[in-house]
This record gives sequence, structure tokens and C-alpha cells, in this order.
Amino acid sequence: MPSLRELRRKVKTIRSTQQITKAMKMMSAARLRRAQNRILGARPFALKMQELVDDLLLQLTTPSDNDSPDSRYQHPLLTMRRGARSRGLLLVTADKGLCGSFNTSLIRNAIEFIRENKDRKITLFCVGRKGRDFFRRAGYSVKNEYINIFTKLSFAHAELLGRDLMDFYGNPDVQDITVIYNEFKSVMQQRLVRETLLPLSLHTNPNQARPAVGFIYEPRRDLLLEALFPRTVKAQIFRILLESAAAELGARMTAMENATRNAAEMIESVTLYMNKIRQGTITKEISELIAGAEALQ
Amino acid sequence: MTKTLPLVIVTPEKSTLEDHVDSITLPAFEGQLGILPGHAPLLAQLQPGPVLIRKGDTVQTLAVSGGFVEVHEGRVAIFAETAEMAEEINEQRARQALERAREEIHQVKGHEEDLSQARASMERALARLKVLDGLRRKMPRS
Repeated sequence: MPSLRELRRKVKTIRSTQQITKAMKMMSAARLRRAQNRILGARPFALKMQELVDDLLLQLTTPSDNDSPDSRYQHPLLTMRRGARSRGLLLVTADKGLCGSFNTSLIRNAIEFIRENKDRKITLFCVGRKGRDFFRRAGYSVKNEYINIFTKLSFAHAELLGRDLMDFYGNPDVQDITVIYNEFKSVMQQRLVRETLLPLSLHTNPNQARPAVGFIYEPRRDLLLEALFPRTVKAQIFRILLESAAAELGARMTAMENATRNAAEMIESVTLYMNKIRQGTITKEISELIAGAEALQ
Repeated sequence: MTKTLPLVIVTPEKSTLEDHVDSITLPAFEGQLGILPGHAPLLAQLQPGPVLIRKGDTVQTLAVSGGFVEVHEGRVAIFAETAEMAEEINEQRARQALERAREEIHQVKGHEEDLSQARASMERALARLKVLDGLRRKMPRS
């Protein structure tokens, strides 16, 4: 039976842990609000850009195009290269832990992806310390890593990341680049997403999409698209980074709230046990006293 | 019947404006471009510069730092890297940025990338100042 003092110390430890988890929950909540506003602000841009690219893709791929077949537009960021030897993977994890299954489920999904493509060479790009650490420990080479960007996330990071990825995609051995990240659904919910980042593809259902129209281009079409496509990719990457940042804070807040609640439960049960023991000792002492007094009579 | 022009302006950080307006003037790649209701489908690249939005008797001015404009099914969407309302522009900061960029252009020799970056930031600063100038001309100090 543990002594009273031991139990008291245990309660104290749990309480100080609870204080830490509570503080972390509060901090995540405060930062989450900001991150949430940013992602809600950034979504329209990424969405509209995607719509625009969809319009263009429909038009570029519609056979009823007035262009002669040999002038059909080809852009390196649109070209499908089926059967190429290598594939790219962008894994967006968090820099820190203590956010429930946020990182583990991402890493598990990435491992699955690598297993599915055993015959290909997978080149890994890691955002966030957790993913990089895992694959480095596992002895898997990480081509590029982007650590500690979430504390001060700006469009410049998306530009950097986009440039690296598009450079890599310029290699004719590369079939496509897939991205795995957590999407921010609500404070309590994250959704793990695995989607193709490059080549650019149609996101809406062709039947639902707006009808293809002949655009007037200024400047010339190829010049314009040359400038437009890289920007679309960067806009998508920026959205993905913001999604992940908000999702991470949401996950941490939920995890820490659970931890705080569990600590409270533990304190309660240990305190109850402690009181029982204390009462037991008192009862024992009283009965011993009475027994002693009776023996004297 | 008067037609209006549905307009949205979005930037990577936030959507800046969503409104029905009468006409828009844009700094397009090959010069000023005016858009009225019923415009044909258009996709154009933008230069850094002022965007004038006319609605009734009021004209709103924004500074954009490059981007794209799409006209599709009579709707106008402007995608800009940044878009600031005239009231939001900090004149002093824009002037400082302009000076800095000028100096850089003078100093940097050879390095192509640095030079084009300095030029781009100079254009952005100029665009902001142009918007402010336009505003001042409209409302002379009494």
C-alpha cells in the first residue's frame, strides 16, 4: 500500500502537468484563431485560381478548338508523363509534437505511398521537423527540407517551395508530385489529404465546369500561361501550408484539452484513494486506542 | 436598363473586395484597359499600378502589384499578389521602398536576379504612389 506522502506527491505531479497542458491549450487556441482567419482569407484566392486554370484546361484540351492540331498548347507543368521512373512526394507535417495523431497519421500515409510505389524512385520533400526527423532516422534520404517555417508563415515560403518543386518537376524522369497534408476542417477535425500537385489537372467535374469560351489573351497566350501556371502552383502551396498550420493548432488544442481533462480525472481518483487510506488509518488508530484503554480497565 | 459588373478582387492573404460596379480600369500588360458590363471573355496579365473602380459617382482606387484579371461570363475576377485600398497605403513607407530600390539598382551590377527584384519592388512602390497622387488630384486640399 502506497504511503500517504507518496500519494500526495503524485497528485502534485499530475497537477503541475495539468497546468502545462492547460497553458498549451490556451496558447494553441489563441494562435488558432489567427491561423483560422488566414486560411479562410486565403481559400478564395486558391479556389478562384483553380477555377481559372480549370477554365483554361478545358479550353486547351477541348478538341473543338479552332487551333490546328499542331498548335495545341503544351506546357511542361501540364504534361502527363506516365510510366516515368520517379515520383515526387511533398509531406507537410508539423515542427512540434503534442498534437495527437496529427504527425503519425501523416507519416503513416507517406509510408503507405512509398510502399505502393516500390518499383519507383520516390524523392521526398519535407515541410516540418517531425516528418524530416522520422525519415532521416529511418535512413530514407530527404531531398529538401523546410523546417521552422510555421511560426512566421508568409507567401515567400510558398514561392521558395514552389520554385524547388517546379525545378524538380522539370526533370523528365519525374512522373508527378504528390502532396500529403492535413486540411483544416474545423477546430476539432482535420482531414488527411493526398492529392496530385503537379502536373496541374482539372479539379472540377467536366460536366459541372463552366463552358469553355474563347478568351482574349493579353499578352500572347503562351506568354500569359507561362506566367500564370507557376503562380497557380504557388497559390496552391500557400493554401496547403496555411491549412496545415491551422490544422496543427486545432489538433494540438484538442489533444491538450483531452490531456487536461484526463489529468483532472486522475487527480480525482488518486485523491479519493488517498482519502480512503487516510480514513482507514484514522479508524485503525482509534480502534487501537480504544482497545488499549479497555485493556487498562 | 443599367447593367452592373460583378467584381471580385482576391489576394493570397484575403479577398479584398466583392461588389457590383459600373466600370473598371486596369493596368494591363500592354497598357490601360477598361472593362464595362458585357465585356468579352478575357484573360490578361497585370502590371503593378492603380486600379480604378467606378460605381455611380464614386471612384475607388487600389494599388495592385501585378497579377491577372479574368473576365468570364460577364464576371470580373482580379488575382493580385497584393491589393491595397488608397486609404491603406502608407506613403512614407512607399517612398522609402522606392528610394531603397533606386539605390539597389545603382549599386547592383551584373547580378541579373537581384536587379530584376529591385526593379519589381520599385514598380510596386511607384504603383502605390501613383494611386496616392491620383487621390490627391481629385480632392485638392481646401
